[in-house]
Amino acid sequence: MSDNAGRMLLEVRGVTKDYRLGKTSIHALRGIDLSVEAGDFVSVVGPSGCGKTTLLNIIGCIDKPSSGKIFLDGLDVSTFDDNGEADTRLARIGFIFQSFNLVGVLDVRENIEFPLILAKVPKAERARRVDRLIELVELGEFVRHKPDELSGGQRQRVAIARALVNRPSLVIADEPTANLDSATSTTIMEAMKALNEEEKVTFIFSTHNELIERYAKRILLIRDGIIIGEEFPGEKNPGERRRGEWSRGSAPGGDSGPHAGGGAP
Amino acid sequence: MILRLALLSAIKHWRRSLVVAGAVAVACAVMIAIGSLLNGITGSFYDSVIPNSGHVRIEDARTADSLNPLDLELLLPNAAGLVAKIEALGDRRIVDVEPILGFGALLVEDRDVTTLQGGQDPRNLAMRGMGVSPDTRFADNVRFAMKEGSFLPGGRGIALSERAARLVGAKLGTGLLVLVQDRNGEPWYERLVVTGLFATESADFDESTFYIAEETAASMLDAAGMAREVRLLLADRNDAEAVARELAPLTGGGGGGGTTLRIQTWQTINASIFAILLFVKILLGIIMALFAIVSGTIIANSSLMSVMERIREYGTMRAIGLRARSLERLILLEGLMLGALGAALGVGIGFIVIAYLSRGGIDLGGIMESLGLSRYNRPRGDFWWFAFCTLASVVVSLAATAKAARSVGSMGVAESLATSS
Ligand SMILES: Nc1ncnc2c1ncn2[C@@H]1O[C@H](COP(=O)(O)OP(=O)(O)O)[C@@H](O)[C@H]1O
Ligand SMILES: [Mg+2]
Repeated sequence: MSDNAGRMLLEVRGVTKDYRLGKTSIHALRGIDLSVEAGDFVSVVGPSGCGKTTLLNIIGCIDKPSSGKIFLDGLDVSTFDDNGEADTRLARIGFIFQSFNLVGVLDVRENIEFPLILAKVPKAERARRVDRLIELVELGEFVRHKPDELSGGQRQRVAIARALVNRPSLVIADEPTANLDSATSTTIMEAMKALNEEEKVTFIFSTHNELIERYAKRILLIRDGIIIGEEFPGEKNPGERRRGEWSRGSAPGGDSGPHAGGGAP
Repeated sequence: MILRLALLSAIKHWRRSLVVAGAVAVACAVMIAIGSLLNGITGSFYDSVIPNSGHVRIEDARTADSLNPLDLELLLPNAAGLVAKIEALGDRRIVDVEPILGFGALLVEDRDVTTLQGGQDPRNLAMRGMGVSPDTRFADNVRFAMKEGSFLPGGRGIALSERAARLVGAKLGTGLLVLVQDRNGEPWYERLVVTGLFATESADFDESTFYIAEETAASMLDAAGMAREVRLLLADRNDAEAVARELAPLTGGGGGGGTTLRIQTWQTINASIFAILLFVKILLGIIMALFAIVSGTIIANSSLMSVMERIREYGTMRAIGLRARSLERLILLEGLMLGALGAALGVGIGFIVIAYLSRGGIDLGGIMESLGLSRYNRPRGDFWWFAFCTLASVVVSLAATAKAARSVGSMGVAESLATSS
């Protein structure tokens, strides 16, 4: 929905995240640097536990980094207080979750409308925007249904509509297809791709599914809290080269690549 | 929609909502019932005991230490003069001033000795006689409890309880012998006609007290112009102490004969009843507090549990942009609704309980009777007490919910989202 594609939307600078568990601490992120332009469609890929959710939560202002800075639309959001973060999420970020996370007692229409009410958008404008999104995600006949009366795919389309309704700068989707069968996953990814191409919505999504990651314009390979490579599925050769590098590094018994072994000095 | 969201959430989690609203309702109903019971006890006290005993009473100072409260030595020698002096003040706060002449007497069955079988004595009963003006403003408990006849229509009548009348074989219109010892120690009797039969709610009182005209009593006791006490009825009972203070100079020589007088107010007269009432109040207060604590804990726990079940939903709302404070307000709103619902239910239940109990009254037994109160207590609903209980229930429910709201509001968003539910 932002039409100034190419503008720098997100900059992540030296972000680390440590979780303390008793005396030991887990280094979930070990220094992430990353830039995303408006209109991009980025996939964060890596095995379970590599830090995808942690990274997306920090980018989405629902978690704070242990160190480093996040600039969203040029604002240093890492300095914001709780209310500032909440307002940033409301105005600038849309979330799509693995398990849909719709509000169970509200129907489809109300779920989509919810962020607009938080943003105090006037009633007529709310109706207009919700109508358009319902049309966009093709849920016209289900507006009065409650989430538990919908299929997984339908629920995720409600979540997509909800994520987009406040016209965010950035939509974050943490494993959006992990709870869906492959056919439904495909339609959800097609829908997101269409929104990216037609509505210029910027997406960052995570996955550990190779079929799904191919929908991205740009793939970030993460392992043990570090970005170890980047692929551009549109450009054949460079992507191949980087993927190979990652595979080598993670191969058991292989020579230790630059990022292999989380505890390397 | 926030309101609708709170409402729908409460309905969806109806089991917990029911527990919360139920706990509020029970606590509210118990508070209402107990409060109304207390109100009934104090109310009947103010309604009956005070009008009977008067708001201010002047008596011989030695009465307090006397072993025999009906000792004729303790009569006020110039009660009539004292009454006249008080009346001459023209004080608007004083509604009525009356001399009351209490004395010990033996009621004896009035029967022709010739009809008695050999060796059989006429039936008799030792009682306390009260000499009062036939149009007295006191003795409400008797005047409003007449079963037959009327209180003291004439100068030579006697009013006694149906119970006492049965014991001495008297009926309305029949004669009855009243036997006394006068101030000189001489026995004296008078044949009086039963003009009224009453039945108060206190058996103790019924078996111990009869009424005759003050004039008759004075002539029998050779105590013209004297009285055991002078009673004042005030327009407002709260003036009692002020009036008592202002009467103090009058009583200096007023009693005459060098007797020291003592002026008592309804508070000091009924000090022992107040002490018992205070004890009852404290006891009931503790019971109420316990109920409030127990139901507060139940509300706090079940709202904490229902909130914990929804952590992820709340995390989602916050991820979408709901501020922590607004989330807390949303949770409080739900608590408020349940509190209000529970309070409404509680008021309804309380109302029914009071209505049911006040039909028959609760038998509180002899303690109440010994205080001169009816043993049957009828709870009395009071608008302000209902309002207070309603408010208190809602406040307790809100306070208990606040804890749950706080714990969710202070949790991190990422943490809430990661919570499985
Ligand atoms: N709240 C937490 N407390 C402690 N460790 C955590 C917490 N969240 C994540 N981690 C750890 O951080 C690492 C990265 O987790 P996560 O970002 O969820 O990975 P992914 O989403 O790629 O599976 C994992 O080792 C995980 O165990
Ligand atoms: Mg994850």
